Amino acid sequence: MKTKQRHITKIIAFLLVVALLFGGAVQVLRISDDTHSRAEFDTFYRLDKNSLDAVWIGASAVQSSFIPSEACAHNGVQMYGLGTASQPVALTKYLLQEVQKTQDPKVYLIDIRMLAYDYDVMGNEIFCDNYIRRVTDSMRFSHNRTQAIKDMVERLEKKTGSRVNAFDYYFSFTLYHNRWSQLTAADFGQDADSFMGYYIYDDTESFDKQETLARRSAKPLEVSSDNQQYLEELLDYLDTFDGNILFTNTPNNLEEDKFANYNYIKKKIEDRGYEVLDLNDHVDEIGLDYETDFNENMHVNYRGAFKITDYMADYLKEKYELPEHEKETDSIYEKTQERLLSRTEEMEKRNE
Amino acid sequence: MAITSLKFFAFLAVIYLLYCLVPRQKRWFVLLGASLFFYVVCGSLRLFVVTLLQILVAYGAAIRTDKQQREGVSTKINTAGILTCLAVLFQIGALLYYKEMNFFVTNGNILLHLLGKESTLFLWQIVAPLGISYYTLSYIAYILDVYWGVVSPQRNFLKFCLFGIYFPIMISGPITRYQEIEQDLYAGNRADYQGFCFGLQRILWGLFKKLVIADRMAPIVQEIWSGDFYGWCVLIGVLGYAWQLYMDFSGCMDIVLGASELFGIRLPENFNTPLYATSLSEYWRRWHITLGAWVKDYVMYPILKTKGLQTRAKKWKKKFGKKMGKKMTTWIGLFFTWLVVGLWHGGAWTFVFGSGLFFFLMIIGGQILEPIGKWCIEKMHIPTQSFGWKLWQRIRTFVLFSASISFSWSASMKDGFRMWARCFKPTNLSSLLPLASRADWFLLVIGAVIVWLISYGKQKEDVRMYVAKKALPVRWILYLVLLFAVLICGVYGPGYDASSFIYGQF
Repeated sequence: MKTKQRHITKIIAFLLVVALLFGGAVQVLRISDDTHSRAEFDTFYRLDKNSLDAVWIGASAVQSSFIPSEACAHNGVQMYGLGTASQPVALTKYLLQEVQKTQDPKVYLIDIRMLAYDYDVMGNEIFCDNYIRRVTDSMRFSHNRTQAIKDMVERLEKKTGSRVNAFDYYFSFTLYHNRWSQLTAADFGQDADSFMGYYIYDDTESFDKQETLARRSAKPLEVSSDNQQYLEELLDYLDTFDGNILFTNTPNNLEEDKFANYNYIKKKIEDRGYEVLDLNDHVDEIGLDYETDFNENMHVNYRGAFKITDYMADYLKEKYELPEHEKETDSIYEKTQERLLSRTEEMEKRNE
Repeated sequence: MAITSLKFFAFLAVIYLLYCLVPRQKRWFVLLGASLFFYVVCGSLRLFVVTLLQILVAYGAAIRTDKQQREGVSTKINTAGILTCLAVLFQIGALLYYKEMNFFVTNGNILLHLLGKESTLFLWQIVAPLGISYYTLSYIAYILDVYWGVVSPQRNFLKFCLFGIYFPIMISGPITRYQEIEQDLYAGNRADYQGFCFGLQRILWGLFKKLVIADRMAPIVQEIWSGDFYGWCVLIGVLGYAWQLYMDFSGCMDIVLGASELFGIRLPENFNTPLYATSLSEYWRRWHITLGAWVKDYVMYPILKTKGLQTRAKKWKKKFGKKMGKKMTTWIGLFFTWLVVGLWHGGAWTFVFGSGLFFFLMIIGGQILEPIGKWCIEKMHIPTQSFGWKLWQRIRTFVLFSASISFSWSASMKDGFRMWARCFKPTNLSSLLPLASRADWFLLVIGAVIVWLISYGKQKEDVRMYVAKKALPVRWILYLVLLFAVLICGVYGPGYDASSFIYGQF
């Protein structure tokens, strides 16, 4: 009997060691993309519980427009942008639920930009494995993540007409295990290019402000049936959601059809009783310079991001009576802001 | 359900648990149930009818034959012999139909064409029952062994079913003889603690060879074969394929034997460090051992013992001398042996030649040139027991083996020769580097070194026993390194086909 107990103890001890090491390996060998999706989620999970006043959910439009550390430095508002580049709208509901697990913000912002897209700039479908994984592979293991994957896999199978191996979504280690030869500091939590989810866009393209703004009056144009469905589902979900919701449309220089699409989407949302803040209508208040503040037609660059952030921080603080948090020198906001300012200073010197 | 997939290991875990919970006398039922389930999932329920028919014929023929022999019925007609022949022919017929039909059709059409007639034979769409190449040989061996009185027939039909479709051996063998596993299969033993650990270690080692080495080598070899590579690059591709095949097949065997060890069932070894072989004859005594032993016992020896060949042997000994006469007789046996080996591998000339007749030619060539070889060694005072000479022999043997099986990999004999012709064009070895990342090349080299070291260690003592004697921290570090090498460096996940074992196609 003693021998048997010894053997069982050895087996359990060995399995525990394996579990520990495997957990570490899974933590390191995860998604790594050029838009820093993983760092965005990892930083979110490290924030103090119930410390956020607002959360902004959207795709790269939000990621490029909003700087959490700047908002805090500007007027003490603590806000976070949660979302990944080309993020499918169908995942919004699961992100809202993810936020609610550890935070209790006074307002949830949802950007509408992706509702006008079925394909990305390279002609790839938005609703695809790649873009779904940026979110699901960055989320922590949880029931919410499982539900998100189940939903996305069902939708993908319906869309493509072929079977999708859900196992690889649930255990993304099967996809990333061979990244062992490409590990960088970012894989160990030191992503120097992510600033609390903000990712610097540093190109500059000039646009004709008046020409762009003239497109705002484009006649509403229906979006695709898929996007209509995503919007309907989202609005139905929000009807039962416990929290203040504000939809946004971030500044851009897209073609007239897109402005028409957004006008269609805005009307649909407003008809359902929700508010939409179209930042394209507030560019003067924001102080956006169409010569210097845009990266390309879809995103602002870091100069534009600072301005939008300041505007949003002031707007939300006033509208929702957000508290002003005391600035702590060792806080993640301060440290990030220091890093960011140092980086943008370098960029400015390089651009001169 | 590939045996490198998580599904298989989950299945194995469930079966093992059930096996342990069920009373000892009933444990073989669990194995039978598992094997039937495995067959249906990996094969087809419809084709199981064919397998069942083969089982019935082997079972019935053996019992009937044994009965007639025990009753000692003396008649002019050897009915037991006839029954045995018919049963064996049935098994061979089933195997030929499912494996070789299109080979005969294709060559039949070629023959008709040569005779100036129209090629009217059509190729058939045939799907073979799972494991037919392996279990058919096992049944043939069983029928003959019962006839020869080597083994008593199994009277329990369900137990006999288990012998044929025992799930670990369905994909790539080994080819088992009834008497080798009878005891273990029905005894209901299970591995003790050390046996259990050894079984798991062997599975892990098999996964390392398959997932880390073989599957990493595969796209490189594929690229060399199908791309614009010349000179030394082609030779590297040839050697690479042989290495990949060895890692793939022996890795599979390690997983199969390790899984079986968990149930206390020891299957016959199929590999015995073939890298250490110093001649092609020896290579085939160390490679796919069960197939080699099978063809020796059931093809070569029966042919050599036939009256016709015995008579001829006497005449040749008289004419050419005792030694040469004996060799010539053996060559006849060897020819049929290698022809069967080639045909067993597949219904195409690339297999018949590459996996079969090439070895016949090499072995015969070696025997004919033996006196010249001995003279050269004597004149050059080569120390044949030295490390250098042994190394040369091993390298030469591996290169010859690689050369032969390169034809098996080619789409046709023409393609095979065309590929060899590319060897004589100028080389650019650096063109191989982009075929894999630096990390992959590094792993392939390290993997080869590790395999070589383990093979070297095996010559001295059982590696698992050697490691088991080490201190606990040392053992655990070794196991953890191997486990995480497979988990992190293994080739699996989205985009990879877990089911593709090379010998699974046979």
